[in-house]
Amino acid sequence: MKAEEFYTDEALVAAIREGRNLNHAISFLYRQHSDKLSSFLMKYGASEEQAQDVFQDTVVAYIDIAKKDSYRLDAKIGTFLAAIAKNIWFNELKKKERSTAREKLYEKGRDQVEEDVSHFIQEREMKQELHGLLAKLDEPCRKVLLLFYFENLSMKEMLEHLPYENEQVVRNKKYKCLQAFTAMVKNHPLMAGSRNS
Amino acid sequence: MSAITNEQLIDLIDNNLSAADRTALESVIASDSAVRERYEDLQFSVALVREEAVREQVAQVRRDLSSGKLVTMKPRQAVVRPLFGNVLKIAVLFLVVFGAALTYKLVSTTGAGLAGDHFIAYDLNTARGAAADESALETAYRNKDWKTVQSLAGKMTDKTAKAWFLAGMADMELHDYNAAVANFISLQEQNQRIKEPAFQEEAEYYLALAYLGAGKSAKGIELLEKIRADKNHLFHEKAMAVSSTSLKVLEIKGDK
Repeated sequence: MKAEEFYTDEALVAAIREGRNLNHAISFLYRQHSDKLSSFLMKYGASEEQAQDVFQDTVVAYIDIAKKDSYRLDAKIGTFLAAIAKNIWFNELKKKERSTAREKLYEKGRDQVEEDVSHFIQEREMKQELHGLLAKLDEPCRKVLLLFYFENLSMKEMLEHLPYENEQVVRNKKYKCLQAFTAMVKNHPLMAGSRNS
Repeated sequence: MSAITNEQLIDLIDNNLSAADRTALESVIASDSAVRERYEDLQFSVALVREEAVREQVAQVRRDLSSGKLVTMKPRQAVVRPLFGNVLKIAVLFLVVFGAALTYKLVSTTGAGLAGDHFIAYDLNTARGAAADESALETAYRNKDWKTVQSLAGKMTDKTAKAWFLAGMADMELHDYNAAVANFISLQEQNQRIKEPAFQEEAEYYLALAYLGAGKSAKGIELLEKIRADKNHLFHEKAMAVSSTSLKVLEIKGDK
């Protein structure tokens, strides 16, 4: 078993931004905040499984937000995560039309952090809807895009993981794959709808 | 600017354009809504790729935690311990161990040691059509006959980049670090004179090691730091693998 790492808020944000040992950072977020936030969500009607799902989405959203230049550590990470989790859970409830007087009261009484978070969350709601689209891309393309855009490998390093002859072939493949994926995204009914509206 | 291709827009997203091309393209994006839409679509796709990867990684950590592969730990809480007692003994023991470790590190860390630890042998690919003297050089290199490589390279009147590089690598293999420094610098100087530089990034990394080996720590560290700062450098990962503590120790010890 690996030794656990402890992060200050600043160190955690730096680790996320650099993509350094992201697994440790995610694991740390879980260890520090999962139980507390899940209990909180369960008070608002989430089942244990739903609370865990919301926390998972919360961590994904937080990593997305923390990478943005506009994100500043004005609030503690725990506070920020709580605000994200609340937003996600109440949006879920809204979709299911299960919003009760208690949740509506929460909507009215949101503090500044929660207002800020709601701006971020709206932006990523669409991404959430498109979840799974990448899996529909053919495997070689998926791999090329992940190696480049997530693993941040150079063309030369990518060659070690791909059956292509040289860097130019990998570069051309990446162009084609990103364009193919963009076409898939654009043709998704949700995106077509957003363009028409 | 002529019609903007998606490849150009992708190059902009990937930060692969020169400053001038970047500025020109950004100005087209700002003024042409159709181009801007294509650019934003591509940017959104890249964001989706990254988010999907993060989503999968988070899901994996969640699975690992629930299956017990990762240790779960409650948030840290302050622990109240007696202020005295064993604390002083532990502190003294720590200082002794730390002092011994520091002394060992200071004595055992040498530039030549670091150069040797981080040296990676360079395997020559098979190439056709090389000049006759270069082929002999390559044959000697492939046979790991480093002395012959040095001798043949020394006799070549008009060295190619590859010849300079192989000569430097033979020097490295023989731990003749001063000669390696000279050969890699000659290669870099030659690269500055030609249109298509060769072995440039290789030369930078091995020159850094050669400097360390030759006792010119300051120059070696400076070059390594440059490579470490450049994520796209071919030897970025290798340079990152060199212990910062060891470099600090060399810096403290100074050049020979």
